[in-house]
Amino acid sequence: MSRWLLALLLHAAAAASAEPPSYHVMMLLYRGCEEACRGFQDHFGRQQVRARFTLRDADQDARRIPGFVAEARRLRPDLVVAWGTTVALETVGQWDAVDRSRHIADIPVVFMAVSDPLQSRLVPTLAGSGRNLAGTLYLLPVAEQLRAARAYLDFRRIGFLYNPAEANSLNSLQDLRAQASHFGFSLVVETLPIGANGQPSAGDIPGRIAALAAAGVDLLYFSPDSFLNSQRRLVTGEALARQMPVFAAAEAPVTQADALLGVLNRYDQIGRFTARLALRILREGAPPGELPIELPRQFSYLINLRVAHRLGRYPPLPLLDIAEIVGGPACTRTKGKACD
Amino acid sequence: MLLNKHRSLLDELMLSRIEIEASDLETALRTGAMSGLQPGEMFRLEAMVQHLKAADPAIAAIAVLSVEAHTARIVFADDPGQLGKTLPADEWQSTSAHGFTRHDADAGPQIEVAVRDAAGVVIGGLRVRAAGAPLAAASQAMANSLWYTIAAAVGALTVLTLAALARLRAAGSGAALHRRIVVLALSSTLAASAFVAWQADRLFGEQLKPAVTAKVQGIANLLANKLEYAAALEIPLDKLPGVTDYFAGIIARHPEVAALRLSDATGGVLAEHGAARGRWITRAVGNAQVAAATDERFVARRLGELAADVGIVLLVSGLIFRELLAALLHRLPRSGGVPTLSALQSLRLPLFLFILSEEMSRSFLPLYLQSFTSGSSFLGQEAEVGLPITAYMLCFALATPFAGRWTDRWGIARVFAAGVGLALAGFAWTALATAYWQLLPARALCACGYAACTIACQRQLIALTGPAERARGLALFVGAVGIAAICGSALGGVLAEQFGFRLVFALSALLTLLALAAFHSARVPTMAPGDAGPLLGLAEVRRLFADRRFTFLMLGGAVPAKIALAGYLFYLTPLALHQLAYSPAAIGRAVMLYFVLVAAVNPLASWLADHFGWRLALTVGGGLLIGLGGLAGVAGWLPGEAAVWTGIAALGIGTGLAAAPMQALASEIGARAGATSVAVVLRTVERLGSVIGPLWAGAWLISGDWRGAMAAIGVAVLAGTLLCLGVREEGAR
Repeated sequence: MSRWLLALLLHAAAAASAEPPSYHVMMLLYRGCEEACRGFQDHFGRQQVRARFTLRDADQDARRIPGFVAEARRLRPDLVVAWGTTVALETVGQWDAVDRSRHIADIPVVFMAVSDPLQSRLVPTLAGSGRNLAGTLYLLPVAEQLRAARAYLDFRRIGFLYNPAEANSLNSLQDLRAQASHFGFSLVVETLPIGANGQPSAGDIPGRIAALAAAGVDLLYFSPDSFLNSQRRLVTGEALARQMPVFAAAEAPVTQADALLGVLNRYDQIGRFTARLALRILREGAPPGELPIELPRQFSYLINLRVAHRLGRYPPLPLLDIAEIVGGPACTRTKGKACD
Repeated sequence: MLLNKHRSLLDELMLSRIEIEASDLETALRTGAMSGLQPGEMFRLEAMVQHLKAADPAIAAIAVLSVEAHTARIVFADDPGQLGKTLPADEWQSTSAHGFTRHDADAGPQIEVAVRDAAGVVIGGLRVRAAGAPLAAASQAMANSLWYTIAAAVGALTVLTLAALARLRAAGSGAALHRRIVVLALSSTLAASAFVAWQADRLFGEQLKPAVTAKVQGIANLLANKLEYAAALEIPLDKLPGVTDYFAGIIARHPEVAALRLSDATGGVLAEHGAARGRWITRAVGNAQVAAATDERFVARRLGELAADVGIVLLVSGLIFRELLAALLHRLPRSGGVPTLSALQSLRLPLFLFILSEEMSRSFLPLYLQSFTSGSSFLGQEAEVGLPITAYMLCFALATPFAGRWTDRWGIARVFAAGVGLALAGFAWTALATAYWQLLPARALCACGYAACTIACQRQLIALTGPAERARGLALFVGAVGIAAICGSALGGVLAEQFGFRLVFALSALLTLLALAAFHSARVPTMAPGDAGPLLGLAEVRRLFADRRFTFLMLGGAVPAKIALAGYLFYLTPLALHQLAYSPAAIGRAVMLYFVLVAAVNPLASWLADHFGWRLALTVGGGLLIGLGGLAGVAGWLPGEAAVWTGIAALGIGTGLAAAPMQALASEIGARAGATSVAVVLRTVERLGSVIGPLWAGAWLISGDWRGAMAAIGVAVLAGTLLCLGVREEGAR
């Protein structure tokens, strides 16, 4: 009997050591597999970790998410990745209001691209969630953003488009107000009226920006707001037409619109940083509830050179050392194109 | 030593130049990594690698590596044959990603830097290897030149010496002959050494200047690259902000550059920083031009430092040589000469060597101690540095009376040997110390050894001389100690800078052995100990201090002077100068100044005291000077450096003025109280001051900076000086 047991154990050990485990990771996404999602998977590849990724995309329709969550509870992957606040809340619920019939409570879940885990009550404290949830931050503190902006240009009056329909917007407004005296600027706020559908209207934007320009604003702060982001071309275009530089706290307004500069974590970085966290849970068995929720250590300084030309406001020489230039002439870092 | 310094300076210039040139490449690698690219995908690097290789002939090889899991693969290199080669990735995991680290590989010196992605994982690295051969060739050429010069000098020296000897032999014999031989030997050796040094200085300068120019050229290239990048982005150079600040940053980081300028096609200046002192090196950037000016003073400063070091070594060698020669000559059989004096002279060398061993570490001891502290213990870093010094003084103070008794019991020779043994153990332990706590007993051992040996020599002096010659003998001793202190502090600093602190301690250990050898081979008649005279009894001491004048003098004159010496010169000065970016050799020179000043002023003070009876006046005057010198620390208008030097000078002159008169005054007051020998009491009281000194200074250093501590010492000395005024001399003189 013992000999048989021994043989079985040896066999199991041999099988286990023969090839490394393959993890099943399920990714619940909101707007497709964008840079963060790709960066996440690429990190696994670089670390040579075998993993099977199941992707489910809500395609900006929140009603699809509960179905994905139910599927996850059925499939029982090793890890669930939740992209964004909406998805995360549907997946695990607020920390003090977990519904075990709807939410996942016994599979490790990792969130990323959540702008404020505290505000949205995903976690009670950034020191750790205390449950099966870990995650990463991606928004830089406003103070750091302002400091970085000052390295480019001086400002005395910051303009802000307030969107009452999003909690994000209120947070940004409060943060900016808190920093105003320390950084020596005054804040000019224009509120976007909310329509019958509970959302602001794009048509109101040009008027508000015109009002900011009339108030002598020398920098427009583009907060990480979904509605504004969806209207980034309009917002930044109007500002540029009035020679108003735009500082963006998210990537797209700089890389895909006319914001002058942005100091932020690029989605690719966020994806990789989150993947590192995920590997700690998977490979080292770190308990998710005890892992602190942190920012990646380095951030990107993005400068849209085309806009700089239009404004005639160029980045100082020291910034050229660290900045990532987007929209520049002929000089890109994408594959296949050489510079110089 | 010259060659060492020469090599290290050229190395430094070359490597920092290459670092500058490679920084562009490093920046591109880093920003690419932050964008999520793998090194192999950063095609821009390929051209940059070729560009860099072509820019500097000193660069032998460049490799950009991509690190994946456990292998590092070369993805870009100057030599196509290197592409695809793999290396173990482990070493790259621990390589810094913040700035270049330097490395001496077999093939030559190299610099490397790792690069991490957003997750903090090492994904690649950059390695640039410099051609070791040209540097080695330059070193070799320098060495050859020096050897030729030395050979020429030695040859001339030999010829001259032989000729002079022949003439001298005819002239006579005796003491006069001895003196002439000493003078001849010294002057010829010094002349030869000076010639070698002068040649070295010249050759060195010839090699240094092109190296500096090359580095400044590298800076100009870097700036040009950056501006070309800006131009490629179609940023008009006259609208580019922050150029002046950028220039200022570079000038602050690289002292070889005096000025930087950007000018446009018409020659109009767009941005400028610094004052041009030397030649301009220019690089074109499209239609514009960037120019860098070398700082001529940089080369002059380096050469000056080297000359100072060499000068110190010459001076010290000369002095040591003189001692050795004198000791040697006393062995020669000759007619006449006082046997006592001859024995005394023989004693001078061992004492000199021993004191030399002790003084060598004076100028940098606090720095060595500091390297062991972590500042984490409850004591605080300042106290941790001060504690071994205090322990030393304390042991010295405690051991001295016992040492006297030991010579009575076991004889002088044995005590000296024991002292050497203790000091040897102490130095060896200090040199090999691995943890802070070891330094305390190590220094205590040195202190006990110091006490034993100095007391032994003192007893020997007393045994050899009658009261009549004693003063002269004492002067001989004091002279030897003084010269040893001058030599030791300066030489220790120079050696420490070249070869490191630990070696100097090891050398000290060796010197103690030599001192022992000299002691044994000296023809010192072993007298029966017990000629020392009656020891001071407790009753006598009480009587001494019952006289308020004596107490005042001790508290006001003796103690503060030693507080200043131990607290300021031995403890604060090295720390303060180190903070002011002084090299150990420079600190040694500064400490040496004190001893030089004391030695120079002492005779003057003695003369004044003898002729005009200005004993109290000189004591008070000296104290005043020391105190005021300490206050210089808080003179905000004095730059840090000047304040420290002022303090040292004031301390030196003040001590030189006050020491002898104070001792004489103490003897006089003591005699009136019926005491026969106040020297012991005086020394013990002084030791007390030495113990307090570092503690006092350290306490102030904790709550403030060294300027405050310096002033606190000054205040303590001034307070003591006020107390001295209570020692009015009775009767007019």
